[in-house]
Amino acid sequence: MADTTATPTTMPAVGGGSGGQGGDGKLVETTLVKWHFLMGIAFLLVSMLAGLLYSMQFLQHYPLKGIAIFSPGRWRFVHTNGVAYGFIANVFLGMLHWVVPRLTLRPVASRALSYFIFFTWQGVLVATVVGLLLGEAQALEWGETPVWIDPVALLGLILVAINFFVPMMKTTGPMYVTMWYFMAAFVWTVLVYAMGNFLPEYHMNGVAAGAIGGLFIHDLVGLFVTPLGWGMMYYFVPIILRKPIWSHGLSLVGFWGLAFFYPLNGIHHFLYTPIPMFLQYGAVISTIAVELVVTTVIVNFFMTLRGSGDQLRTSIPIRWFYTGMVFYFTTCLQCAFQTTLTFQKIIHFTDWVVGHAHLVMFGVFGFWLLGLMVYLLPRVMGRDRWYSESLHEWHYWITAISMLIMFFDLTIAGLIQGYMWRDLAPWEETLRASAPFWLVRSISGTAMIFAQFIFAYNVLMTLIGKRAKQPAGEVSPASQEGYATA
Amino acid sequence: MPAAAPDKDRAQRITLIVFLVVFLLPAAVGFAIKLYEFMAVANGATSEGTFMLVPVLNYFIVFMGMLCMLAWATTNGMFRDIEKPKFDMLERERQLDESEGVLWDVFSSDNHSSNKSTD
Repeated sequence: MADTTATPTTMPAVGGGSGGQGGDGKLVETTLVKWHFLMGIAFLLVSMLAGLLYSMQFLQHYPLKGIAIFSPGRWRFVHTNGVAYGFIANVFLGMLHWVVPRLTLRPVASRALSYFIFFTWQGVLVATVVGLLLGEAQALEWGETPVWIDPVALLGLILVAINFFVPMMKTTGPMYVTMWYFMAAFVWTVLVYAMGNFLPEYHMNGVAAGAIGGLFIHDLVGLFVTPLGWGMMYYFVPIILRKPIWSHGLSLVGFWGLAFFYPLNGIHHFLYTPIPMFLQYGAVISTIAVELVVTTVIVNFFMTLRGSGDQLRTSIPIRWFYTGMVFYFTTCLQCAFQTTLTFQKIIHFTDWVVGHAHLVMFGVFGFWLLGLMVYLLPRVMGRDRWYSESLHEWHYWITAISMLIMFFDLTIAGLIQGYMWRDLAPWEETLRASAPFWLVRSISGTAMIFAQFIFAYNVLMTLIGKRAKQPAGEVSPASQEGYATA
Repeated sequence: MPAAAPDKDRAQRITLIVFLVVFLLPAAVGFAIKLYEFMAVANGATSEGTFMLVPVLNYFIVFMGMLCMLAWATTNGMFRDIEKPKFDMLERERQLDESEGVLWDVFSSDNHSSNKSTD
């Protein structure tokens, strides 16, 4: 077992060449990274369009009225599941195929297995979309995937874990924080998916099933998306800034804090229910504890940025990453307050929660993944620069501004709805009061989708443009500005 | 800036200790109290005790797994020279990039050298 913490004297080839450790000498299978990224972008566009379609129902302008398989509620499932499993999971898988081999200096356990997972995962996603539109959804938020998909998806997650665990387990010596996050994420994701999709479906009912549902939806964010997201940040931010993270010790405090305090959070979705109050309070306390843990992470990243603030202007990936971090801190701060019983009295069931969810899933993790793709796509596509840098600027600014508008719009709408409900205003009046906010939501969503089409166009034009003179994965220092501008 | 390095190390250590003492310890105490309440309810033979057991046990399984992992990590020296992995990772990445022709011309700044911990 080689000690990867020691600096290697010779480097295996990354995207091509010879002398590496894969069968054909490649350490990173760049084709797979590229395919996962491209499928992620495709699912992002589909999911966002589904969300827009659903939002039209709120404006009473839904264009597909009376067609059962295109009923608005089904598009909502396509929107949420498509974002989680189509966009986020696909891009994460691409990222893992890049990061894990480079961190461990070993290729994944089996490249054939990676390709099998890629095709199977896309099949699972298409089947999920079709199943949801045909009305096969399960009555579990974010676990709506048809019941016959669940075992296949779980098997896929187990195979993913095995594929990446093998190189990771071969390393010795103190591990970099990214490895901690990734290893934990592989275990947690399998456990969370199994818990959420099988326990309420086959073994439990009533309040206990509700409590499990709460754990599932929140742990999917905290134990699947969050560790992969932070692991990714701890890897890419120092590399792009060309300096180490400010404090590795503090980063480990963040990791272990997440590990111990996050899993109980989910029950805060069910305050004021028959779940024992001490358990509800436990969820509130652990949520607030997580916010403190998050503070350590944010402090660490901003201390790392100190002295390199200009990168926010010059490096598009860093801009995406740090905007996402600010949004992350905002959402976690929101979380610490909104899990209290006082806040819940007002905001529960309102659009406040919808605004919060959009900021978490797209404003944070979506932004990080977009930044990642801006950084890596030219390299994995074998291009020496992006088709257009100015399109990146347009993409960033339209997305960020429309995200902020949507967030504030829904937050204010939620407060108005909550107070009107508390004051027992007639239901019709609360709908009338909400209508302008729903219109702004649809407009800002349209702008957000437009920005993603700009990005997709940039990707497409870069893909069909001239190949770099160097072999795949090799980029000249001069052209590095095209994707990293570091 | 060699003189700045000890100050920086000290600032990191202090931040680490503050976060540990001010945040993690009170949270751990709160958690222990909840654990005590949980056991009291579970032993109380009330209907409350029955339907909260599954979600909580779920958590405890994960918790115990993490606790074992923490014990394993501590006994296997994962936290010895705690800052070293960040330098190793970056150096490894620099070498990988340079093997591809991507040069890290700004890597050897004081950001790297002054941060390096002493073994």
